[in-house]
Order: sequence, then C-alpha cells, then structure tokens
Amino acid sequence: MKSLVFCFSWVALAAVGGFTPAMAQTFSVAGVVTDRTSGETVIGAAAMIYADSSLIGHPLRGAITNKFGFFSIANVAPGSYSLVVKSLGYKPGIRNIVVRNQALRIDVGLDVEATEKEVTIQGEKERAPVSSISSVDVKPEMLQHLPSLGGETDIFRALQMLPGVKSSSEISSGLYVRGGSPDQNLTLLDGVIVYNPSHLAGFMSTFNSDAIQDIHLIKGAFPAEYGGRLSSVLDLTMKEGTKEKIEGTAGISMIDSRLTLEGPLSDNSTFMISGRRMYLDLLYALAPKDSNTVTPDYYFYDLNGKVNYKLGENDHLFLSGYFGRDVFGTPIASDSNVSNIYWGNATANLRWSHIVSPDLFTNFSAIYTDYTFSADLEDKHFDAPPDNNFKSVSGIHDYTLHGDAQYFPDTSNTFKFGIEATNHRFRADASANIADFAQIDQNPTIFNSIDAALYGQDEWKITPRLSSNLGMRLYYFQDGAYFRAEPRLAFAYNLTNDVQLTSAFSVGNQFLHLITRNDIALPTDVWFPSTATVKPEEAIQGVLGMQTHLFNSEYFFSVEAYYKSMWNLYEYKDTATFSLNVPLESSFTSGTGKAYGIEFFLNKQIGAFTGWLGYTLSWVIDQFPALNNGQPFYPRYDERHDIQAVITYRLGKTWEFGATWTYATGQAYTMPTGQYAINPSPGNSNQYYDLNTDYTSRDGFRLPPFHKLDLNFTHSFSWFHLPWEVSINIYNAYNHMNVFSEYVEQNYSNYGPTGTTQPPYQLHQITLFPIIPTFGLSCKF
Amino acid sequence: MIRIRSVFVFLALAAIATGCENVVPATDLPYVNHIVIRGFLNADEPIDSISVTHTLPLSVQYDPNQAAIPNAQVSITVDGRSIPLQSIGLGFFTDPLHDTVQSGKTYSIDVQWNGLHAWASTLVPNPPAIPIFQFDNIGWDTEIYRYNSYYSDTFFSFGGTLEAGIEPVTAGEAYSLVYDSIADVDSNYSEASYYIGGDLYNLYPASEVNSAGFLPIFQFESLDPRDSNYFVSAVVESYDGAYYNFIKTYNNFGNSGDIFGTGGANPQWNISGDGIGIFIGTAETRRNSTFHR
Repeated sequence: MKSLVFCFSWVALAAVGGFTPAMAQTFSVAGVVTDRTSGETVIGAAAMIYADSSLIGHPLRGAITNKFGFFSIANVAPGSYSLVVKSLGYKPGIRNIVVRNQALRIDVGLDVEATEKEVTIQGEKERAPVSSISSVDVKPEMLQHLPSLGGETDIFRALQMLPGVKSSSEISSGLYVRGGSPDQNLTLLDGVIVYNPSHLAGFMSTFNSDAIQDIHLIKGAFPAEYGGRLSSVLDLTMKEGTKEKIEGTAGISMIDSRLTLEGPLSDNSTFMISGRRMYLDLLYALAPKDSNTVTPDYYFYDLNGKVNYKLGENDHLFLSGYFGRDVFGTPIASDSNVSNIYWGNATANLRWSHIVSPDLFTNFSAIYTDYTFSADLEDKHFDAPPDNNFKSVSGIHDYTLHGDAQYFPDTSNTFKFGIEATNHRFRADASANIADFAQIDQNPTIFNSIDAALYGQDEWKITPRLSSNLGMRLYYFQDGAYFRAEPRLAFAYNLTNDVQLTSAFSVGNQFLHLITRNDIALPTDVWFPSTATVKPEEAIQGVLGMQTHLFNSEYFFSVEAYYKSMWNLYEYKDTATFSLNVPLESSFTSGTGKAYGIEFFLNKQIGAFTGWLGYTLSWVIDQFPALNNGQPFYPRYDERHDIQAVITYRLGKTWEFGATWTYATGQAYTMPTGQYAINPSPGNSNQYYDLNTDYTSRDGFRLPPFHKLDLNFTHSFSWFHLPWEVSINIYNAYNHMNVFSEYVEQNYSNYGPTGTTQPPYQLHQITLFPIIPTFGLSCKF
Repeated sequence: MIRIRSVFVFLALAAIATGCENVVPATDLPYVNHIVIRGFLNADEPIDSISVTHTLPLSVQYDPNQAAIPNAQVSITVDGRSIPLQSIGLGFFTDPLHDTVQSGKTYSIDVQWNGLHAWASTLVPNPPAIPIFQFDNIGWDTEIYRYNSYYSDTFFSFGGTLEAGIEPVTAGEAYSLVYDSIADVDSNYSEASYYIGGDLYNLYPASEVNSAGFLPIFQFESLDPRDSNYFVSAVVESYDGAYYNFIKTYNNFGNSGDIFGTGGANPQWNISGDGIGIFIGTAETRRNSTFHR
C-alpha cells in the first residue's frame, strides 16, 4: 500500500513539478487546425506565435496539435501577434491576432500545398524532440507510391521498411519491433485495441490505407498515456470524412477490391465508410478444377466507418467502427479432411471531445472490442490416429470506458491525465481430442477480468534547451490481483538548434499473453489473461539517441540505441497437452528475453525525390528453462543486420516511381544435421525402427541472407472526367530466390535398395515469391 | 473474353500462390556427428539389446551397418558396479552376464567412441499394482467406413471402455494403459485396434493420474474379431518419466518442415554429452479378459 501511495505521490509531483505560475497577466491562444478543403483535423501541426507579421527570428511561443487538431499556447501577454500554423503537405496558415483581456480562440484552416513538396516519414522538426523519441509518423499518401505485392500497399509492410521493425517471414505482415513479438505491440484504431490486425494468415494487415488519416508508431519507451504492452505502440486514426462533397475512391488489385465513400451528412456532420473484399475464392472458382484435389475456400473482408458530428464550437462527437473477418474452409462436400479456420475483429468507439477552456481539452470514450479466432481441423479418414484432429478457440470481448484530459497551464508544461477501465471476457480452449470438440462449442472455458489504469504525464520544458516527458502509469488487473506502477521518463537536450540528444526509460507490464509455438502463428495460438499462476509479462527498456535536421530540414537523421529486458514471456512447452482434461495453462512455460541494438535512419523528407535509408544492428535472445534444454536461443526473427532503402521519385506530372530494397541477415532456423534410426516404442524388438533426422538446437542455424528489390510505377490519367491511377508493381525485381524455409526429404530417385539401406536425404529450399509483376487500378469520383 | 479471364486468373494465382522449391547440392548439407543410444531396461529382464549407433550424414544412404559402432566402449553402472556391454552386431550391445534388471535401482550408461562421450541415467520403476481394472460398455457392432465418395468397407467391430486404477502413483514416473487383442484379429486389419479419445501411446505422467489413482478412461475398438470368444489383454506399464517427455515431443516435432516453415526439432532426449536418444527404465503388470459374443 505504501508503494501505491508513493506512486500516486510521484504522479502528483511529476504533474506539478515544472508548473510555474505566470507573474504577469497572460492568456491562452487556442484553436483547432483543419484541412480547409476537407474539413478534417490536421494532426501534429505546429502553431507558433511571432511578435510581428515579418515572421523574422524565432517564434515567441508554440504548440503542436493533438489527435483532434487542437492546440493551446499559454502565457500570451496582451498585444498584437502573427499566428503561423505549419504542417508538412500544407501551405502555412498565417493569422494576425490581437490578444486582449481574455483567452483567444482561433481556428485555422490549411490549404494543401500544390508544389512538389512531398511528405514521407515524419520525425520532423515541428514535433517536440521529446515526443519524437523512437517515434515515426507515416502519411498514408506516401504508401501509394511504395511498391506492393498484388497492387495494394499494406501499412504494416511499409512499417517493416523502418529500422527496428522486422517481420518473421516474407509471408508475414506481423510487426516485430525491437525484439518484441506482435502481441507486444499495442495496435490502436481510433483508440480501440485491435488484437489480431492481420488478414491472409498474416500476409496483410487489417487496415485499409484508404480509410486511414494518420499512422503513428512508437518503437519503444512510450509515454505514460499508452500502456498494456511491452514493445511498441501503433496508433492509427481513421479519416473523418470530407465536408466538401460526397467523394469516393475505388480500387482493384490482384488480391482485393476496395471502395471508400466520404462526405457531409449535414452542415455539422461528415461520414466515411470504406470496405474491402478479397476474392481469391472467386478466382479459384474460375480456375480449372482437379477432381482429385479439394481446394479450400478462402476470403476476407473488412469495413471501416466513422461519423463525425460537430455539436458546437467546443464539442465533437465521433462514432467509429471496424469489422473484419477471415474465413478459410474446406467445402462441405469434402469427405477426407475438415479445415475450418476463421478469425476477425469488431470494434466500436463512441468518442466525445470537449474543449473545456482554451487551456483544457478533454476526451471521453465508450469502447467495444471483440476478437474471435476458431480453428477446427479434423481428419475423417477411418484409420486416422485420434491426434490428427485439433480444435482451438480464442476470444476477447472487452467493454472499456476511457477518459483523458490535456491541460496547458503555461508555456513550459503540458499535462495529460487519463483513466481507463476495461471489462474483459476471455475464451480460450485447445484440444487434440475430438471428443472435446462439442464441449468447446457448447461450454467454452471463460475467464472474466477487469483491468483499470490511471496515468499522468507532464511534457515539461525544464530549460530552453532541456525538455522532458515525465509520467507514471498505474495498473490494476483483477485476475491475480496485480498492482503495477510504470514510471516513464524521457529527456531531450538541444545541443544546437538542429541537433538534439535524447534518452528515455520505461517500465511496462502486459497482462494479456498470446501463447505461441516456435515464434510462428499457428492454430494453437491463443490469447490468455494473467492469472494467479500466469504472471504478467514485464519489461524495462532504455533508449539513447541523437537526431538532427540537415540542409534546411530537407534531411532528417537519427541514431538510437536501445536495450530491453523482458520477464515472464510465455510459450507452449514442447510437451504441451491439448485436452480439456488438462488446464491449458499447464502447457505453458515461461522464460526471459533481452533485445538490444542500434538504429540509423536518414530520411529525405521534401522534394520530388524523397525516401530513406535505414540500418539496424540488433540482437534478440530468449531463454526458457523448459525449452532448448534451458539454453539461450535466438528466436526466428532475430536478424543481426537489417538494411532498408526506400525512394520515391516524381517523373513529370503523371508518373511516380517508387522502389524499396531490403537486406537482412538470414533468420535463425532449426536445421537437420544428420540422420539416425531409433525404435521409439518400449520393448526390445530389433526388427523395427524409425529413420529420423537429427536437428540443431532451437534456431541454431542461419538461413541464407534475405534481399530483394521491389519497384512501383504509378501513372495518373483522366478518363471520363475522373482521375485514375494505374500502378504496375514488380515484386522481387531481380528474382532473388530468398529462402523461406528448408527441409530434408528422402530421395527415392536413382535409389537402388541394397540390403537394409534407406535412400539419402535431399535438402529442399522453399522460396515463396520469385519475381512477380502485378498491377492495380484506382479511381476517385 | 476467355483469354482475358485466363490471364487474370493466372496473374492472380501467381501473385498469391506462387512458390519455388530448389534442391540444394549435397555438399551444402550440414553434418554433426552424434552417438545415438536407445535402451529400455525392463524390470526382471536381462539387458539384452541396448542399441548404440551414430548419426550419418544426410546425403548418404542410411545403412545400419554404417551407423553401427561396434568398437564403442559401452558400460552400464548399477550399485557402483560397472558392467561392460558386448557388441552383438548391427549396433546392439548386451550384458554378457545376463543379470536381470531390478526395480527401484538407478542404472547409468556411459558410451565413448571416436572422441565422443555420451551418458545417461534412469530409475527403473516398480511394476504398478492394479487394484481396479474394468472393461465397460462392451459392444459388438457392424460399422461402415467410408474412404471417400466412392469406396467404403463394412467391418464387424468390438469396442468398449477400459478403466484402471494403479497404486502407488509416483512423481517422476509415467504410466500407460495399453489394450492388446491377443487373438482372433483378422490379419489384414491387425493394426486396426485403436484408442478413441486417448493420448498417443495412452501414456500419462504421474501428474495426470487422478487423486484416486485412476488413469484416464479410454475407449477402444477392434475391427473384425472373428471368434465368439474374444481374448483381450490390458497392460499397465510404468516408466521413467523422461519417456513421457520423449514420446510427446517425438510426435510433436518429428516432421522436418511444414507449411508454416517452423521446421522440425529434436525430441526431448535424456542423453547428455555428445549423444542423443533415450535410456529408460520400465516395468509392467498385465491383466487378461475373455469376452463372448
């Protein structure tokens, strides 16, 4: 209890630590920044006050717009000023203002920049250095110019081109951020957790870039406003819908088709709705049939929607939602095997933002989340062994109430406080016993738990050169009665006007575990809550960095080193038993992990030619007493060297060129190293044996290095008075046979048995994607 | 139109379903030489066939004669007494003194060959007492098994459930309840007796035996028994618990490579040093029953 009191005291101290009341009478200048054409809020814009309209020298005061486009500049003395609002991709908005004897509210509409300036990744100058530690902002427009497989650029695949972000394999869009697994990423869509943000068994993310307004990734040591995960935060904001007129975007690619509609519902309200449907099942239906082969059906679809209602100058109401499903199944007529797998997310968020005063902004949300996963694999052959069957279900059903407030008391401090409570209902079952299957459907294992979090943070400008973000997050998780306190500290020091030194430290806890097997997504994966026996995952991490802007901010360069230590990581034991007779958690085993590395990032942000170059040197090491004979091992996604190069280039007014090149050390892999014969059954029969392969220790071998070049050409043209874009993509342009996996198989060709010999093995290398040209077509109307 | 559709289908399938497979030259295959030990020490039986071989490179034909290491120094130690084993060919070794294995004692094996050294120990359990042993729900039936839409077979079947309680249940041991038809099984379907709902090998660690000493009930079925008198046998075996870990992992990860690219993995051996394999003490208790159609 004492520690709890201490923690709350710490929050309070942190909250008031830098507060210095203004001596003279001053007032706030606040407002909301929007895109003048669409009416959508502009996130991360810099609002600055200058002494006069000449805009010479440094601004007197400044602030950054929050996720609702709101800014507040405190301590402005009465007088005449110029308010300048800047955001990449927009012309500066300039207003001459007069502050008299009261706070001033001034909303600013920005016009889109019509020059050749482009936006790529933002770690940019407008954002306060302390907020940009380990952070990147990706503009969805940039994604359109990147190469893709199938004609549609995936958000997660674009993020995988950043230093510190990796994938587990070429087929996976899962984000492994600084040694953390995908379940350790907090993925938020309009403030709502999306538990499994992947389609096509991880090949694509669930997020339709047409529906996304802002993408913000924090790779580690995130501030106190975020919590519940160990590794990273991906915070996505959906478009609100334009107020101008009803518009649409339609696209067709090799994998799916998509349609987005947005526009005004009334003078005070807008909407956006966007959907995708993947049609592999329809294409298979057109393909020639082989009567001996049962082809499974597979498709996914997703739907994003948002309604934005302006109640008044100070009040906005948002209702946003997401619904997506993946369905994989064998046809009902199949009489050999049944393989039915489906998963999906449904989210809804009713959010009210209220500007209490020019220096106090509040936001309240009522959130619903539902995640469902089900796998049903049955072998119907009459002589099939009973353990050829498998069924698992995993589900999370959450109701959340959330409230936070941003307070701007003076120019040196921005406080943020929040409280959140979630009622969880988990469902987790897995069995290889077909007799259990009906019970799993009818009487599933349910876990209920409540978690609550309270946080406070202060973005405090300690001196003109030194700024900080000091925060504390307190957690309570009902099942197991866990209390946790998580201090979060970040500092930035301006060495010069263009060079900042940064550091951050954080403690994190995670009460929800995705229990996996051998690093790879399998039907055995289930979400499982912390209980009295399953402890919360814990991590501490530290970051040291330097960032600078070069050549008049045309280039941004950063280097960051990180170290992360993790406890209570869970996996299945090698001897896991999947049966309702055995509690699922008895098949878990816990271990520790550490990840460390250094990332270099050079980004050209402006001009017809943009892009970035990233390099990561990193290590990830796990150790579980019950796995790999208790010896440390590198998980599959450990890659020592990782290089990414991304360029986009505008060729005239109608052509865009994009290219990405990736190089990564070969992944860690468990490899056969010999062959042996053994009779596994008891008794002393000499007559029978199995021929098996001997393997390295877990992930004790390295696959060959991975590298590939992807190209994209986009041509814009007008047809039927509508703007069209056709994109031609070349995946793996120089056709490098990257190895996805290797396996050995006995080679019976040219084998003449002699005596008791067995044929030799051959090593097979599987390459998923050779050179693949694809195209996509989209149109706005 | 047909051509357009075909091209579209081809490109789409190429985008999603393409994959290539290359065979790597044999010279690129890695090789690690390990001693391979396979030994079951059955209580009240002599040590008559311990197998000691070594791993062969993947690129060669597996030949038991090449795998055998008859010149290996193999010894068993019990009660502080070392028993050198003799090679009897094809990788097998035997105790020349023909001493019987004793329950409750720890046996160790030590193998040295060609600069490699492997060793292991096992505690030979006591034969389990079976105070409760019961067949239930016995039935005779005719069943149609459908292979696919076109082919099916009709079988005469015998099935039921078997329940057994054992004592004592000892931590660190594993138990199996094995149903075994002794006679009267059609030779064509002699492997068709199987468990329904049981774990593989029907093998359970002590932690999964309930507090009353009952092993999980298992369902069994035999196809095509021909005589009106049907003799069956059930065996309860106790093992060094390491066997449970081996069997579980042997079947979990036996395949090298799969669609998820997880690759294979070694089972949990209980051999240390430069060796792989199993060295397991075991004891059994058998019960017989006869059923009349």
